[in-house]
Amino acid sequence: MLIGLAWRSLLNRKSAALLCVLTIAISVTLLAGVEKIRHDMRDGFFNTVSGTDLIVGARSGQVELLLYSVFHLGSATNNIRWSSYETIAGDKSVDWAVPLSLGDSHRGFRVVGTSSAFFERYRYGNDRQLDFSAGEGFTALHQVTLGAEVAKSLGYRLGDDIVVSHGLGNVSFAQHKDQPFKVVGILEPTGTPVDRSLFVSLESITAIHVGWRAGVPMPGMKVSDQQLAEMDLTPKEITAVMLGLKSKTAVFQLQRAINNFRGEPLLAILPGVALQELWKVVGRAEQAMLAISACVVLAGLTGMLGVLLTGMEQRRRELALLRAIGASPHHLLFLVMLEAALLTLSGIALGLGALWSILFFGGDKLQQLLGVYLTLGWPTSLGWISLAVFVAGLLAGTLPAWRAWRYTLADGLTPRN
Amino acid sequence: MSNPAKSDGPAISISELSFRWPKAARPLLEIPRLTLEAGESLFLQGASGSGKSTLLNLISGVQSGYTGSISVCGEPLERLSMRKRDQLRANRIGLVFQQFNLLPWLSPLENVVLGCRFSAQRRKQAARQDGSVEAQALRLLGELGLESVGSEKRATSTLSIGQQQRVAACRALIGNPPLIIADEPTSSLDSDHRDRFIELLLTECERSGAALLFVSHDRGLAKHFHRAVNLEHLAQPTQEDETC
Repeated sequence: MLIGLAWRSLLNRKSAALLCVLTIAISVTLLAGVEKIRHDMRDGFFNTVSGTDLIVGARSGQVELLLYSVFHLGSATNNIRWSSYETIAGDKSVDWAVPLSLGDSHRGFRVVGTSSAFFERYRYGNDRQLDFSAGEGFTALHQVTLGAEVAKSLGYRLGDDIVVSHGLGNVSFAQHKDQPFKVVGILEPTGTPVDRSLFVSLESITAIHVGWRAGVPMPGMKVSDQQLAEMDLTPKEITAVMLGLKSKTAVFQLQRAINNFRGEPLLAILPGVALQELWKVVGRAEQAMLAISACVVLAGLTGMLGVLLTGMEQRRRELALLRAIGASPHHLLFLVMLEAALLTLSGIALGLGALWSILFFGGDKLQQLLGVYLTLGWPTSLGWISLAVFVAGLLAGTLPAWRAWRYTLADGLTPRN
Repeated sequence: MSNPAKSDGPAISISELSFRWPKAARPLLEIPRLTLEAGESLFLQGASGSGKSTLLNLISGVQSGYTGSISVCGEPLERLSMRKRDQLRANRIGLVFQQFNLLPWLSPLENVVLGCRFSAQRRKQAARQDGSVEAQALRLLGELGLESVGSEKRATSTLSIGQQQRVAACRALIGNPPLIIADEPTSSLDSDHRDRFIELLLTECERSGAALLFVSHDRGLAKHFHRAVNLEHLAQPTQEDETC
């Protein structure tokens, strides 16, 4: 019926209609894309660490501890004594404890000293375990396991030798050149800071600092592999501890016990609570992003309004003719609204199609660019986005429709120009 | 062939019509009496500015705000709502204009079928007579010498003006409306085509039993019609049936 007429009329104005659809499509892609990134970012953020009941570090703020232990941002103000670690790990309610020692880096990526239990205990997402895309976790001195992004961006393969820098700078003058590491394993991508980290044993961390004082190598204090093999490489200090408990009910009790630890000032945090607090800060930006993309949709619809309104002037004859055939002003109002609906719907369809192809074909590139692990799928609020854009499109259509109404009443059977 | 026009009385019946634009000092139109009987053909002559277009807008129900009475096929327009008048036009009136009769983005056949778009009554009528709306459209195109236009998928914009006017006539005739109104339909045609178009239109109206109101400034065309009236003389009752 009328939809056929609206469609044919639009086909007749192909280029203008196409432009309309394109602007709407771009804005929809952007809006849905931002929503998708927002959602995945949030998911990725809250899924960074799971399965860990407590994180323990030197006393500071809980966000600060979370930032340096999990996100590897900033650095610890203080360390934990090895003896304290042993006491906590030996508590009867503790199921497992994974020590973390941070402070060295390799070409801008953090080097994490830990135990090999890390690969078994670390969980991200919905209780997902780390997988190896090649090789295995470190088992001996001077072996390193790489996060996916480290291996990819630096082009490392199994068997490559790498040198660790002292400190965290991208360009560090103090290099542990005398003790290169061999790549023995590469992890699958996880979308967490693990991807951007290198993992070595705590003993390796101790070993590369043998003969160092205050951040610089002492002259003439080189050690051979044999000497190292005979040394006790148990670290004196570590940066943080990840704890898993036998029973979740003991969490608060142990947290209190650690916070009141006599040996030194310590802080134990619940990762979920700390993540929530951190998100309150980070989450602001995403709201702004969403608001901006909503404005882009408005701009797109304004474009459509322009095309429809200018079209109206040229279509007075068409409207008068339809009126002569028996169309009432209501019919013509409806016809123009239908056009707006068709344009908006096509724009939404094209925009979502574009988003899907971007995610499908360019997901990897986007992930590197944004540092957000994007899953292939629609944003959860897809229905609302589509509905909102569609309704806004219809509203934009009311103005030209109203003009069509006025024209038909003023013109009668023959348009006056 | 059934003829719905006959039972409804005159195709057009006007009495004591007066129309004036809201701010005008004098009425634009004053017509004491004008009748077009069912099946009759009437030539209405009027110079430009004489209120021809306004009269046609009034008869087809797109303009209101007059005093007096206009009845189309027995229905007094002043008693109908806008929606009812639109429906009456869709059902009972076929219109042909001087130009821009067709939607260029529809095929000629689709343009003819468009005449039934807003009238279920005319669709039924066409289907009763020829089996389907399309079949009647093709028959009409054939009768007006446009067989090839109907069967080929020709773009409407490639038709000559003469062909376009004939397609427009087919659109006005489809579904057998009892009243055909032609507003200067031949003004863009040369004299040969003009006479041929008028003859075809009259033949088709006779065949379907429709009344024809033919409006033109060209007095020379009057000879083709049953009756001729000059719009400017209508105001004087004595001259109503004057032959031009």
